[in-house]
Amino acid sequence: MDEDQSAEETTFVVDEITTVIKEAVESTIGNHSYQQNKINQWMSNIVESSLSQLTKLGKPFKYIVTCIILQKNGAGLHTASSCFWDNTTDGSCTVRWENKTIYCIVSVFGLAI
Amino acid sequence: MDDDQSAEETAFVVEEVSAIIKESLESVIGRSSFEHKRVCQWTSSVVEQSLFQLSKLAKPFKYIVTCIIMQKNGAGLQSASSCFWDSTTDGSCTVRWENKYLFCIVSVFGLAI
Repeated sequence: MDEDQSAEETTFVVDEITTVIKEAVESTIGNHSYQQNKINQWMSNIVESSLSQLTKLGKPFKYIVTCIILQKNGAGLHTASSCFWDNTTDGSCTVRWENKTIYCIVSVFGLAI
Repeated sequence: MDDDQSAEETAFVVEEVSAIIKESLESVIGRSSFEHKRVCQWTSSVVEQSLFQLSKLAKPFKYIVTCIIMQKNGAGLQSASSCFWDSTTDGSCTVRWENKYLFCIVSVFGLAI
């Protein structure tokens, strides 16, 4: 019982993190349309609020949060990422979100200390 | 003398990493135009090649490499990242590259083990 609990506290739980990110994006962008002058602020809000929620989880991890916001304009976009880490302890999670005028892709990488 | 050398071997050197990324981009994409079918392949090749070169440096780091390729179409794109790490030992480097038809943004995050 104790061992399961401590394993839970030190692993990268994808569902937990997905929820944190979705909340951050919804509360920042919600139904707004793409506005050039507000984008910078939105991006900072999303990454900062995600990171502060993640650190509040109190797990022994270093985190990297990246966010991409793209205007829906017909342009093609591709992203990829590759990681050189410890497979047993580290993990990542990507959340794709959209509304009528914006695509938003947030990735979180968690690396065990 | 010895101290400087070992500091160099265990620090995240931005110029070195930047050079590796630029080389990967030039060799994979070069002057090609945005071709929907090939872009997937390019993003994978860029991240894998970069990661391979980085791991050859044999430094005590975990790496995360992300790559975004976007068609030049007038759409707005913003990208941001935030990191929760050890600022004395960890570092990141972002390379923005473009040709006539596409933009490419590659970010490398290095976290000391």
